Amino acid sequence: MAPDSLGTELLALAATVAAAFLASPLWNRGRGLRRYAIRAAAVTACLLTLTATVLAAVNREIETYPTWASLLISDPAAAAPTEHAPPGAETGTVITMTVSGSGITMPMYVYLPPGYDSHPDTRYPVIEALHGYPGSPVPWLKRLHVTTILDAEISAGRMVPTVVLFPYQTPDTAIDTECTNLVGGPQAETYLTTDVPAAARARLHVRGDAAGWGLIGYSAGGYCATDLLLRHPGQYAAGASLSGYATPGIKIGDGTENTEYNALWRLAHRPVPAVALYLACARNDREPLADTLALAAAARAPLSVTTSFPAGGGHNAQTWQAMEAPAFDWLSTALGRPVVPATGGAEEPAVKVPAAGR
Amino acid sequence: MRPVLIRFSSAGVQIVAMSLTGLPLLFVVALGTVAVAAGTVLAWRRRLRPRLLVRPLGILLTEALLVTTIGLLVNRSELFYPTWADLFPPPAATAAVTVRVAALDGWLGTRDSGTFTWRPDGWAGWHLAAAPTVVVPAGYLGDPHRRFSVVVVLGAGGTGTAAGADETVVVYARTTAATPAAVLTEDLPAALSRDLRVSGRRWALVSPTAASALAGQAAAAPGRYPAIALVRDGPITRPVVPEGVTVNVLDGLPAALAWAAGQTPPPLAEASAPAGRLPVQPAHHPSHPAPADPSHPAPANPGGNRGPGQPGN
Repeated sequence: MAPDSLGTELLALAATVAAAFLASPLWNRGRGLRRYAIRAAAVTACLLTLTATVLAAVNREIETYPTWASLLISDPAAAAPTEHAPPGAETGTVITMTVSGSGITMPMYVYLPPGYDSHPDTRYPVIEALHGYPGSPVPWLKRLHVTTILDAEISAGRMVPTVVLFPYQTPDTAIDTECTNLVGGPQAETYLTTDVPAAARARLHVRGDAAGWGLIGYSAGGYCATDLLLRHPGQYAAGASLSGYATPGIKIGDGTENTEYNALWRLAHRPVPAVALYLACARNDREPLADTLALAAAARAPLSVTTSFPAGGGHNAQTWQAMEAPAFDWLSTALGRPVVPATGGAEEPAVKVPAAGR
Repeated sequence: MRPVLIRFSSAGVQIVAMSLTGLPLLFVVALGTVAVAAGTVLAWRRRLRPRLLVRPLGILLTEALLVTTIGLLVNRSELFYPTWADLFPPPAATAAVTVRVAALDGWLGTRDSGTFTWRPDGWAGWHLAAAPTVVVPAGYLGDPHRRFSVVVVLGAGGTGTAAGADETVVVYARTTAATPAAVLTEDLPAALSRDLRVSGRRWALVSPTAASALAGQAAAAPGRYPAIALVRDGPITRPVVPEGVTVNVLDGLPAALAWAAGQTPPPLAEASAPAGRLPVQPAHHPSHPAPADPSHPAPANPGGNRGPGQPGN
């Protein structure tokens, strides 16, 4: 029974009810100090079980601790749940791999599109999917049902068969990296923009050039997608931010949260790269909406910006799930196609893109 | 069942739903927490029967109200669920969007060849050496629900074939030294988007050395040409391009066409439309190209809008 399972939540709820029902008959048990000790224990049991129930519910929402190991040792490396969908003709597969580099070793989920195994010569485009904070990549799989959506979009021809990577963004769940290199802390930016791509290129048949690499993220991951795209145009050609921010909202350690890591500052003070950015935000999601509007207003050539503002929704998984398919479809229009390298090394388009689904 | 607020005014009695993030609901729930907690304490010592039921129910109700109060406080601060509808959303329906038929689709169906001389309205003002030649890929008509990427070949070169560029529309634009970059970034894409089912962004350029400066200027426009294939025909002059634009030098037109096509997306069906969107500013979503209207040319980029504040918009 995983900590993010319904069973765990129901168990905690049952314990809460049991503690409340036991408190009454136990209240007048014992004499003197012993009676007070029993009462204190009963009250503590009520509070602890209630807290456990609330924490279990919150964890089910944001999936910070998908496994007991991740909860107990605070290191996601040994803690990736292994739920692999069986491969099929029309469905992709999710595998897990470990990525080490920049002093960080963490697991990563990888979506392999339909046809991946049967086209070993094809080099697929890649999207790095980033999560919110607190959290983990697991909500992409469990709350946002990303594999179902990717399968459907690819099958309908609205999306190119694409490899999608779901990396962890912090080696310590208590540290919010915002995908940056923290001074004296985790080098998450280098890990995500160098080590993760290097591992993917070494172990998967994916495109090596920036034309085939994109980013997507929700909430803090939306900031990550915008920031990493603007800072690494040699690695990524396009990014999609769902309810994202313009600033990291944390202290980097050298004040760069106000300059280099502030997307609005970058757009005003640094050369703007020729990349494509998709910004989606619910109209009633106050702070991200203000940031999204500011980003769209600050954008200038050669940066290309596409915006989408759903009427309602707020800052939650249902909203991101509704935004997912259009954002992934858009990314396919902003990235290079799957290619088959010609003999001699130069990459040429795949003879026939294994999209179909007609 | 949503909590309601009863308002008394000169207009009579009004019953309105309490806002999920408003103070009235927060006060009601917080007061309820205090009241139930107090009631539980008072009832604790009384000989209420059945005591074994009243006490635990008091505890559980207090706990539930306490958690709700804290939840409302957090939600009021972070706006995870700004309205009741966001908390209990109706099932989302993603609208399917179909690709509209382009102006020349029917005419192409009557021909044997996919290669034709293209004379769109206004082309005479583009300062070209001759009318462009367009090569439509073999699968174009058999794939009527998809948009195709475009590779634009600059200069006088080219034999009018698309060898190497599979599943991609190739335009031999016959540019001259007098051709303005805006022809490549605005006029030609707008005209081609009316006549053929072409994509809205991420096209590629193939350029001889002589036209590399023009290619560089075109690549500086947002989202249109992030890749330039330079055909080696003498000493190479690399164009000055912004970061993010890829320039590659290749031997021969077929290799250049193949590389350029590989930089673009394959033919794609129209993107899913977001559910329940209501733009807060004039914006075209990718999946909603402007309807064909001869008096109002389709936007150069039917695949999206540029954000406000960008030049040339």
